Amino acid sequence: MHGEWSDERLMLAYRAGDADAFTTLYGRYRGPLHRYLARQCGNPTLAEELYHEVWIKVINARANYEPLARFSTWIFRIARHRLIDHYRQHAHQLPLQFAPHAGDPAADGPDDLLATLPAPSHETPHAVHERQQVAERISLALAALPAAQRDVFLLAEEGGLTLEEIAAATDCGRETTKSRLRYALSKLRHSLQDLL
Amino acid sequence: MTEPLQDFPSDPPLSRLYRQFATDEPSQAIDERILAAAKAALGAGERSPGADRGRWWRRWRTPLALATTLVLTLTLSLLQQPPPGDGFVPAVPGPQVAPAPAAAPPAKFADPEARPAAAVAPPSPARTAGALSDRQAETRQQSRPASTGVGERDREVKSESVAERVSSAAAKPAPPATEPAATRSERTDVAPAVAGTVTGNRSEAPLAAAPGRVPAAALAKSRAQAVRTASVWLDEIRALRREGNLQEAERQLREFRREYPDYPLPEDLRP
Repeated sequence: MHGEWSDERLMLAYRAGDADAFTTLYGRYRGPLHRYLARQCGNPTLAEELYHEVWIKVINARANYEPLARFSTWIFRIARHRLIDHYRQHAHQLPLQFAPHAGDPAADGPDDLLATLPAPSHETPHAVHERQQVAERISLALAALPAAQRDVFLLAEEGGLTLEEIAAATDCGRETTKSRLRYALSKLRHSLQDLL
Repeated sequence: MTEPLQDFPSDPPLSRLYRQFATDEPSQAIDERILAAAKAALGAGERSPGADRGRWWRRWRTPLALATTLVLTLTLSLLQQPPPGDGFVPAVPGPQVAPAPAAAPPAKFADPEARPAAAVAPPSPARTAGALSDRQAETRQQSRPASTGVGERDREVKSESVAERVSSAAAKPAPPATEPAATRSERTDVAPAVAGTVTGNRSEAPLAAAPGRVPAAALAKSRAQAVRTASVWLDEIRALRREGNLQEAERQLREFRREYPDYPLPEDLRP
């Protein structure tokens, strides 16, 4: 029965005390949310920690939840804010060489902390030979993207968000979002041309 | 959601390739931790102290409000009762005061006009007798056509005799303060008789049958009457002494002290 319910209805049911509704909702978002965090932070252990914290936030916020927007928009926005908070707290640990992509018109300015994130360590060339070739190629292609473009691409692919929803989640304009997504797709196609 | 597809930048082959190989998921352990936390949060929400307090308050607020209202009402009603008397209240003798509480409510409820006459009967017998005699005549005329029973007629006969006795007492030239002793002994009989007279034709039975339902105001009034009666009695004794009837004055004084053993005698009446 819960399988046919919308995400918002499941969350409202969980707010009313239906634990099974949360289980169904969790099953829908466990993969996409985990992949979003894992590809953004590049550290599996850190990704799992952030992933747990995001779901705890969802659980604790159930009493005040109102379906003002899609559930996917809400939870990916929580995940993104948690990611930014983490890197604000650990900004001094960021190496200087991971500066924003200079000269890239689609990359954001220095105020975008996501732009300063390093590429995932387990997807650096050092670990690439331990994985399957295609998966490695895709991961590398994503890691090579500027953080803002990767963010938009993952929100669209994993979260299924629209341009407006991505723009709202990333606090930027719709056209900027559209431009970032177009650049991300173009770069990925260029990197993975032989696999398509 | 209503976004036109051509406006959304997309690359279906690239998306297909990404989803085909993007299969990594969280570990089973973290899944279990999160689901357990979700269920625990629901259980904690149900057993939260705030919720318990809310349920307790919702359950008990109505009985507590009723109990508080009841206590306040009782307290206020006790505070509103008049004091039992101003200063000294003598021990109320049976034959003098006992009929008064029974007499007051019927007089009040049966005929409001008759109440003053019955209430002031002891201190001013002459005035009371006149009022009563008029009242009895009126009462007789009112009750005669309606009353057909033997009991009613007996009550009327009794009322007539009482009215005559009171009228004869009132016809004496002596002022109320110097009333003879014989009149005083009659007066003690007047109160119950008057009560029976006034209430006999109307609603005597229900109220007379329930002496425990005497209102507090009537009780206080009867006590005040008892105080006045004692002082009037002392005035009568003084009048007897002034008239030279020392023997009768002494007898009245003894009787007074027997009925009011705790009443402090005035200086002029002490032996």
